Amino acid sequence: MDYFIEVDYSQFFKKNQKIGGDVFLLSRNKSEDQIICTLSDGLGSGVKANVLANLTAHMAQKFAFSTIDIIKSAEIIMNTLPVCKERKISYSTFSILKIHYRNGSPLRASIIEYDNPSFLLLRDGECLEVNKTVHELQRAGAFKEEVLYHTEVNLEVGDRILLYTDGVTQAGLGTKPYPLGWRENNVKAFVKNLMKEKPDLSAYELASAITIKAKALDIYKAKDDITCSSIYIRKPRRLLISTGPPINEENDTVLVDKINNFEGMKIISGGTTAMIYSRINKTKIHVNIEDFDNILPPSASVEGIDLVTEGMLTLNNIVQLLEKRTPLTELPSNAAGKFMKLLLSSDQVHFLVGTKINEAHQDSSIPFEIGIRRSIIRRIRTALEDNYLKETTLEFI
Amino acid sequence: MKKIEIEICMGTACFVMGSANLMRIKESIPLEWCDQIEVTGSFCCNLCRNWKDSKPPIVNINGEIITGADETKILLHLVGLIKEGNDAEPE
Repeated sequence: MDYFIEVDYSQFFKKNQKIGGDVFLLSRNKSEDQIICTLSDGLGSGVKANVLANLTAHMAQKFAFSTIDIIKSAEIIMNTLPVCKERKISYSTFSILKIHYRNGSPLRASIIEYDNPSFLLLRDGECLEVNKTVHELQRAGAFKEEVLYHTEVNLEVGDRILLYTDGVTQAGLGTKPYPLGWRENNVKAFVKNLMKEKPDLSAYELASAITIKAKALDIYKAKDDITCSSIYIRKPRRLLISTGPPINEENDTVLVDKINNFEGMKIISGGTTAMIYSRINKTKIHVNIEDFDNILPPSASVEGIDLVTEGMLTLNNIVQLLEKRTPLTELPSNAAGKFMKLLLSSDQVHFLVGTKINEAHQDSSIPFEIGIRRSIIRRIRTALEDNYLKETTLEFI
Repeated sequence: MKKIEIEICMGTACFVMGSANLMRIKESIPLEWCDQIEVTGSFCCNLCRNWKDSKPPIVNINGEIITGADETKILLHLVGLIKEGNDAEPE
């Protein structure tokens, strides 16, 4: 089964708070073929809640990666969580989602929930009812009944899982249309409706649609931290990035053949590479001087390629944007912004890197260092894998 | 009269050596010439490999290569071209 697991989240903090009490963590363990994400909501809001939620989420994340049974680890976390002296309730809620994606065996998800709103599993635009196993805990010092829900479910391509905090279900609390808050049923209806209209939404788009709606119900002043994370299992979207000319000129045709035969989106990053492509394919390059902004050379268009940009300066800029995790909404509107949008909307990125050195870049009279293509590409790959969980492959030519 | 085409190289070397500023050349050209001139961009014209003879930024005006281009060089070249154009045109 060929699939990609897309995970993203969207978040608003309670109004007037610069830091949130909801924490979402995500990591991918390659050697174990696992994805683990944790959503935790700390008691209260602001710094205190943030520290508590972070504490919980990091513990959960570490435990979930260990070989300890997922239920056992949840128990340990809850025993570690301090119970508030005044309120007599434990400090944080959490949901842990673990997806096993070992090749050959079916895609499997384990979900442990403690006091967070129930997760949603969407298949073919419908919310599936799942059987949850209930585990009751008796902890010294706890005043209320504590219940863990454990769910094991097999996933299929096209499935989505949504995890959200009570900021979503309680949005609009006290307002006329929703005196008791938005509540799970209405969230479900909203998601179902959205899926009917736009079935191809990305994980991020779905999560942000929900948080934006929840914030709107709170009349644009969030009464609690609002967080929604969404997991989308789908067919992989592939992207080719060709940068740099081959070391031997005879290989120019090999390079262009590879570009032509690639299935998916294509970017050429590099003036010389673009010239080689246009020479062999006998197409003309048109430079879009309108998106030029003094920082980066403009992009260009050529038939058969989704984006053509200049090479090293643009790639250097891309590294910075990726390493800073620049939000989609803050991307520049120049060539790098277009590049980033293509990068972030794909799952598997293939780098086709030419190893020829451009002597002009090495001249000592150039006012600053341009860098080495291979090391820039290495940084881009690391950032894509660590910050965005993309799959990348590399090929030298 | 045929428009004068100023093609400015946007390759890495040319860009860092100043072709970014040349994109705004129209701002320094006398207003009455502006409609006779078209500014376009190109990617690497493969001349930067030989740094000694062709220092970036490289600008191509009506097929003629100007190396180490700056505003003055371009303007001087334009003056020549426009004069030629005026002389050739019958009164």
